[in-house]
Formats: sequence, C-alpha cells, structure tokens
Amino acid sequence: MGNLAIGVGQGAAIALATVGFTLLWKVSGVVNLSLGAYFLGGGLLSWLFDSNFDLPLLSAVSLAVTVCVLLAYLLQAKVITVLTQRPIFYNIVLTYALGLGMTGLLGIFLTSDYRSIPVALGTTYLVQDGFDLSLVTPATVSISLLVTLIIVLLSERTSFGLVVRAVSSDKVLATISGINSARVVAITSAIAAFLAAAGGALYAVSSPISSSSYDQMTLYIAASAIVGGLGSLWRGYFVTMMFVTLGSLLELLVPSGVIDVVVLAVMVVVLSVRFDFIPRVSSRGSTTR
Amino acid sequence: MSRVEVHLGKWSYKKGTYLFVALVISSALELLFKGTSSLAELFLLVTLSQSWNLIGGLTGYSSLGQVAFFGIGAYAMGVSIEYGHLSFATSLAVAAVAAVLFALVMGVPLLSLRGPYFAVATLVASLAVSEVFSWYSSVTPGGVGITITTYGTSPIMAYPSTRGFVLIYLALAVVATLSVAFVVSSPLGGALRLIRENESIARSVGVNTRLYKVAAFAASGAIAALAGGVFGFQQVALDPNLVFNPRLSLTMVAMVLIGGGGTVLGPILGAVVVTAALSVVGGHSNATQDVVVALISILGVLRHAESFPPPSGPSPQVPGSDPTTDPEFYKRSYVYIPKALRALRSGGNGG
Repeated sequence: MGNLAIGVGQGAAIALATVGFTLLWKVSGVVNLSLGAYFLGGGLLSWLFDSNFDLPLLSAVSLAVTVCVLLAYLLQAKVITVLTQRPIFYNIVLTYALGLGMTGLLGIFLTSDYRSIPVALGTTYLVQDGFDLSLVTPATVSISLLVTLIIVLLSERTSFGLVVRAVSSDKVLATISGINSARVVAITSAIAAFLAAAGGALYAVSSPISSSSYDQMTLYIAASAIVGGLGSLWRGYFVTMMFVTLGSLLELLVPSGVIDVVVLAVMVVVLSVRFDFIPRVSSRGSTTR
Repeated sequence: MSRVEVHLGKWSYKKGTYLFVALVISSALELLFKGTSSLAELFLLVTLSQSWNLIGGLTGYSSLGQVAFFGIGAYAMGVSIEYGHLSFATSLAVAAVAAVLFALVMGVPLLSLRGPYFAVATLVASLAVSEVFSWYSSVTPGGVGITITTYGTSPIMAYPSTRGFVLIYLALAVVATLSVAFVVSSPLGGALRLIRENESIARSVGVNTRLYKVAAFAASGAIAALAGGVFGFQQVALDPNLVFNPRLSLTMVAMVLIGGGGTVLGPILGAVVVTAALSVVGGHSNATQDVVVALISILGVLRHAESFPPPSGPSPQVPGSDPTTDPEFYKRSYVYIPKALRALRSGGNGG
C-alpha cells in the first residue's frame, strides 16, 4: 500500500506535464519533448530557491515556475517557431535537444544528485498502520486534479480557450480571422511549461528528483500522452497515473524498469491498432483525424 | 566503383563553410592535443552516423533509439568473449547477428509507425531495452555490467593498443561508408528513397515496403552493433548506462543533420564536427557533454530545416497545415519520384 501511495502521488505530479504535452500537441501539433526538462527544472529550482536561498516554499515554487514559463515562451517564440511547417521530426529532435541542454545546465550547476523539498506535510501522517501515508500524497493529488480542472475549463469555457480551439482546428483559417497563431502557440507552450514545472515541484515535495531523470520523465510524459490519445487532457492524465502507479507497484514483484517495457509494449500496440481517438500525423506535421 | 557516386545532397559551400572550418580546427586539435584516442572516437562516430543514415537519412524513418543496437552489440560482444570464450572476430559476428535478430523482432511493429510516432517509439524502445539489460541479471549482471577479462595470467585474448583500436574503428568506418555508398547507388537505395518520399506510391508501384524497411533497419542496426561491439571490448567494463546512453542516439541524428542525410559524405562531415566539439569538452562532466551534444543537435536541426522552406501560403507562421501547400512537396515528390522509378526499372541510381 505504501508503494501504491507513492505511485499515485508521483503519477499525479507527472500527469500535469502530460496534460501540458497534450495541450500543446492539440494546439500546435508539436511533440515537445522538452517538457521533461521543465518538469525537472520546476522541481530542482524550487529546491534551490527553498533550500539554498531560504525562500518560503510557495515563493520558491512560484519563482521556479516563473523561470520555466518565461523560458518556454521565449524558446517557442524565438527558436521552435523557426521550424513551423517543417517535418515534425525536426520539432522532436529540437525539443529533445533543448530539454537535454536544459537538464545538462541543471546538472552542471546543481550536479545530478537527487534532491527533495522537505515539507511539514511529509511528517504528518493520515495512516501509520502497516504503511505510512503522509498528507503529501492526497495534497499532491488534490492540487494536481485542481490545476488540471482549471486548465480544462480554461480551454473549454473561456474566450482564450475559443482562440486556442480555433488555432487547433484550422490554423490557416484562424490566422485569416486575425488570430496571431504564433503567439497563441507560444502562450500555450508557456502554459504547458507551467504545468510541467508545477508538476516537478509537486514531485520534489514527495520524492527525490535529479537532473539525470530527464529520459525517464520524457518516457512517461510522451508515452502516456500518446497512449492517452493525444487529444484528451483527462485521458492523458489518467494514463500517466496508471503507468506510474503500476510501475511503483511492480517494483514489489519484479526488478525496477520492467514498467518501461510495459509502457513501450502498450504504446506500440495502441499505435499499431490505431484507435480512432488518436489523431494521425503526417510526416510533415499536419494532423488529421 | 564507377557506380558509387558520392552525393553531396543539398550541400552548398556557402552553408557548409563552417563545417570545413570545423574540419580544420578538428584536425589541428587531433594533432596538437588528443592524438590517436580522438581519431578512434572520430571513426566510431563516422560508423554510427552512417548507421543512422541508412534508416533515417535514406529511408526517412528517423529513429531516436539507434543506441539500442549499439548497446546490444556491446553486450553480445561482452557475453560472447567472457562467457562463450569466442574469438574477437566471431564475437563481432555474434554482435551483428544479435542486432539483426532484434531488428527483425522490433522492426515489424515499430516500422508500421510513421513520423513522430516512430521517433518516440524508438526512443522509448531504447530506454526499455536498457532497462531489460539492467534487471536481467542472469546473463548480463544487471546494472553492475560485464567486465571482460583482458589481463592477468590467462587473458581471453590480446587487448589491442590504442593505435590498434584506431585501425579497427577505421576499418569499421570504411565498411560502413562503403555500405552506404553501395546502397545509395543500388536499386535498393532507389527503393528506400522512394519509401522516404512517398510510401504509398512506393507500395503502388510494387515495392515491398515492409521488406525494404526492415532490411534497412537491420542493416543499420548491424553496423551500429559492430561499432558497439568494438566499443564494448575497448571499454572492458560494460554497464547499461554506458552503452545504452540515449545521448548517443541524439548524437547520431545530429551528425547526419549537420552533414546531410541520405548522402555518403554528409555523415562523415557531421562526425568531424561532433568529434571536434566533444574533444574540447572531453575531460568535463557528462552534463557538460550533454549541453554540447544538445547545442550541436539544435544547430543541426536548424541548418537542415533550411532545406524545407515553409510554404508561401497566406500565413508562413502557421504550423502544421496541409503539406501539399508546400511547393517543396511537389518538387520532392512528383519530380523526384519518376526519377526514382526509372532507376528502379533500369537497376541504376535514382538519385
């Protein structure tokens, strides 16, 4: 049960990054693998500001998330946008490389040691009979669900959401209608980075986090989003929860890492079967259903 | 060798000036500071870039998990030598066969995917394979890895000198380059390029696309496995983090993007640039090397993307619109494809 709680908590944190990945995919058709780096950046910078600069936790997290959001906006507006309408593989390589560069910088300045943010909730237990369930897990899940709900409402019930949906469905028409598609995509990138960084901060509160985990996080985020259908925020959210929780539980039965194989197998099966809910993407970037 | 044509692809001297500068700087660094060890790295990277070139550059299936073959080759080499007591040459053959078998098993499901799905799936596959080698401890001592006995009173075989490894890597690089050159100039190369340009048309004209794709995947995997095998033997101590490092996949992509995909000379130039850059930070941490690889990859992507100008539609800033609005699409498809078809029919080079 302890592993279940850990898995659910970690899954809820990583799921935020998956929601960002899916949102960005819907709007821009970009597979942004650098979100794994924003996830780690959110966690590690929060730790840095909290532990080394003695900022209050909320301020530390806010500052870390702000740094990630600004960076994501600038990189999308100045670098990634250069690849507009180029084959989508370039986007994948570019964003993966950007993420690698960012985590490399984190590794240079913060080393690859595992860090976690100590919080009072971590020593306040709901259950302590047989397994320890601190308040961190329910708090992480609650915050994660709340943030996701806000993002879903933002994308479905507001005028900004309407603009986002217009760009998502037909960018040419949206542009002709006066919408600055490039700016919408950049803002969506910033929102995705916000989600990833916030997820990273939540993760660092409950579990140790390291800049060397970039590939692992990228695996969970990308695979969960793809298996979740690359169009549904909630599906991506819950698939991530499922994968991470399953991985945490499997650690009791088999050596760690088996979950990666399971994730691969599920993803390949889903993609091969080509469920209707997965939008197909041509090699040059256009999405079709 | 008259049929072996060295393609420069979209290479232009203007765009490629900095590559030649890098070549000169790299050569100077080799002579002044690094000596033979950096040469070994250069030839290793040439081999790997040509390996990726076969599947990514020629066939258009851009893998981000090519390092899986490299790692499998290294482990096959280690297990063959340490436990099977096979010779170096036989172990190399085992490494290549292991990679081909892996390509046959994984190629069918993975190569049914296209574009971003294939790239992400291969990245995930390489991570998964790495994990398998980490926990399957009965043969591959898990995360501890394998140590090949190359010393003591009864070493399994003689351990070559650094210069010896340079020669071995050179031989691999030559074999890999000639293989790519042969494929480029053969009907197989025409079929692969046709698949890259338009797989549906390739199928409609009778090309067995699955067979060709799996063959290219297996061939590129075998080359990477050979490089991995030699690298594994050179390193003596193998562990999953060393030989399944995803950075290596990205490095392969970067080399081809910088030099030019689907060409013979391009990957070599890309390898020179990457070797030169890595030589500068050779003694630094993995994180520093990650940053360098990332910068090279970003430069490679931005340079290579120039060959795909955005369409001149109503809004050049709109991502992800219909590719058929791109004039380059027609240029690359309807102009190119008849040439490739003619090449297929005549058995010559369609490039």
